[in-house]
Amino acid sequence: MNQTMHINLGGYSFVMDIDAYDLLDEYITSLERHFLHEEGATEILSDIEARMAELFREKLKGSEIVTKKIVSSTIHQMGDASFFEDEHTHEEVLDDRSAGISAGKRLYRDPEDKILGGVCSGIAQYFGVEDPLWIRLFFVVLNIAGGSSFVLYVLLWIIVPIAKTRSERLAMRGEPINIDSIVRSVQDELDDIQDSLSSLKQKVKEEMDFDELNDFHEIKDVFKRYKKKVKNNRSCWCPWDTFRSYPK
Amino acid sequence: MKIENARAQMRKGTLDMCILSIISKEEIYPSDIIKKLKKSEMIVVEGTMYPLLTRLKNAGMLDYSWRESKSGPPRKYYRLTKKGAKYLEELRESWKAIVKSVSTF
Repeated sequence: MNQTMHINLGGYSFVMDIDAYDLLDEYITSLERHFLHEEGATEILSDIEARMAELFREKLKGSEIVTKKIVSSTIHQMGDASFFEDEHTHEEVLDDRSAGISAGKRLYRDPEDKILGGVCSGIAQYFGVEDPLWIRLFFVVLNIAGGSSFVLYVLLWIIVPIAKTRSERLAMRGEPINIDSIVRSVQDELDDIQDSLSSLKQKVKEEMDFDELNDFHEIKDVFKRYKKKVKNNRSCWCPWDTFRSYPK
Repeated sequence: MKIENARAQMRKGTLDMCILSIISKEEIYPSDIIKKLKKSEMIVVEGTMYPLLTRLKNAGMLDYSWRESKSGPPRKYYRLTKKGAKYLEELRESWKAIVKSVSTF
C-alpha cells in the first residue's frame, strides 16, 4: 500500500505515489538551481515540465498512479542537470562526479545534526571535519578564553541559511546534485522512516499485554475496512493523507 | 580517447543546425522535434533541447505560437524567423565547407 497525492504538471493532473513525488520534486528543484542564472529559465522549466507530463501519460498506459519507476525512467530520458550544459557521454559525467565532489559545496546549517542552530555541524561539513564536536569545542573554548565566539555563533546562525531541501543538503555535503545522489538520499530517508517504524512496532508489542494487543488488531481491521471504502470512493476524505508516515 | 566522446562533440556542434533545419520545413511542436532527433540519434537525453530552443528564440532565430491540442493543454509551435532562416543558410554553408575540407585529407 502506498499513499498518493494529486499534482498539476504541465497542465495535466496526476495522482502520484509519495516517493514518486519526492523524486520528481527533487529533480525539478535541481533543474531550477541549474538554470538559476539563465535567461528564460522559467520558460525552459515549464517546457520541460510539459514534456515530462506528456511522458508520464505515455508511460501510464491507462493505469492511474504515477509510480517512482515511471518518474525515474522519465528523468533518465530527460537527463539530469549535469547533462544540460553540454551533452556529455556517460563516462565523462562519471569522471566529473568523482573529480568535482567539492566543486558545488556551500555553507549551510545542518538541520539533521544540531544542538542550537546547526552552525557548527554545517561548518564541519563544509571543511570536511568528520566530527562536528571539534568545531563545537573550538567555539566553546574560544568563548571561555575571552573571544566573542558566542556573538559570532549568533551572527552565523542568522546569516547562514539552513539546508532545507534535499538538494541543499547535498550541496552542504559537497555531493554533486544528480539523479543517483538524489535517489540515494531519498532511499536513505525512507530507510530511516522504516527503521523508526519497526522500532515503534517493537515497542508497542513489548508494552501492550495480550488483551490490548487484540484491541490493537481490531483497530487495525477497522482502519483496513475504511481504507477499502476510500479506495472505492476516491472523493472521500482520507485522514492519513495528512500523515505521510502512516505504517504500511 | 573514446569514440563516443568525439561523437558527442560532433553532435553538440551541429545540433543547432539540425533543430533549425527541422523547424524550417514546417511549424513544429518540440516533442515532434525530439522524435526526429532521436530517430537519427542526434540527442541522447531530451532535456538538452529545451534550453537550446529558448536560447535560439531569445536570439531572434525562432518564434512560436500557441495552438489548441485535442488531447491536452495548448502546445507551442515553433517557426523560423527571417533572421533564423539567414542564420541557417550560413550554418549550412559552413557545414558544407567543413565536410569538403575534411574529405580532402
